[in-house]
Amino acid sequence: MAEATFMNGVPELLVLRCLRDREMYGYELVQEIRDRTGAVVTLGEGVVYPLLHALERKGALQSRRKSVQGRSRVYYSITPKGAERLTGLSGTWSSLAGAIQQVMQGEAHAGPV
Amino acid sequence: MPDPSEPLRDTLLRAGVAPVHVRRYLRELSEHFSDLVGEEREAGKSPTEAEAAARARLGGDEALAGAMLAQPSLRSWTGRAPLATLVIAPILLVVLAWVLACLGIIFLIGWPADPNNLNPRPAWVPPEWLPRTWQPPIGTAVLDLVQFGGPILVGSWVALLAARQRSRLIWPLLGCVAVALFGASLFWHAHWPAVDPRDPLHRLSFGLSMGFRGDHMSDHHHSFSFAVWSQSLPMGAFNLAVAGAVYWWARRRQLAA
Repeated sequence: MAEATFMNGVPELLVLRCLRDREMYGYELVQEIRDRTGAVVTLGEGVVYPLLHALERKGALQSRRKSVQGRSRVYYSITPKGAERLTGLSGTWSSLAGAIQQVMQGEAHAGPV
Repeated sequence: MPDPSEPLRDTLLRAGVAPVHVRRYLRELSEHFSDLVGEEREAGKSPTEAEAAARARLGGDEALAGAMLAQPSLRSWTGRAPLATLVIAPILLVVLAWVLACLGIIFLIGWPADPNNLNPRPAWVPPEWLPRTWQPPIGTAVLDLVQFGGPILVGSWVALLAARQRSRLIWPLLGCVAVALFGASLFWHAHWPAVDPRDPLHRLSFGLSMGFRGDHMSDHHHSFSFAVWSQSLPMGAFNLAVAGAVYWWARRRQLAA
């Protein structure tokens, strides 16, 4: 539960970051996130779609149905609004990660009492 | 063979997720499932093992539904506000149908010429062109068509919307009863311009009343009569029967799919 709370906002950040490079469909996106994070972050295979739909409704993503090798898929790509959102989320994430890192390093330096 | 995605579809629709998102979600899940099965097969698993592994990776119905319900923006108005969408808005639509019918008639016959110029023609309305002897039968036909057809169409729309969303039966029932009775009780009337343009009472006017009938120019002072109002009950029952039939047909179609 604590881990789930800590992960709030992370799937959105990762989805936007991956889609910034190229358009992808759901299955591809989940594999991409798993590969890029070295399987440290694995999104639920099926639960990525509600997030994609919600981001599309917010105007951060756009989708189109495309046939590749005879199979029809919904491809998602980032919009300028989504890119702006990604910049904001990345900034927040970087400062948060930096702050946590600082605390962790301080703990290591303090050593046992 | 029952559709394996039906329980998830039912849960999502009943929870208020917009049908368009439910349809798309289930289609994407099915495509994702095929990709996972393919991946597992390439890894050397048998078809049965591959399907079981793919199902486990995709997630259970509870997790899949939970993820969708965690996104409030994907809910439909019917799901979020059933009272407003299935009861109040349809009643307003019946009144709107009357306004549109009046505007349609004005556009159809044109703005009646007024020798005293008491009601100058607005620039957006065409001048009167239909002969005055034709105006009452054509105008009354349009008014009657919308008066009787409007509540039937609105009631059917409520029934379809509720069936599509699998809303609790109470909402379409309330909405259809309200539209059927309200629509049937309203008496739409019009006063047509006299054939002789010198007639002082030659102006075109429209009225909407409940519980009394007759020429509104002479009967406007009449008060509500329950006896007159009750004459509209058979029409209300007919409206309700049509809406009920539409609802029954839509639900039957869903169950058969």
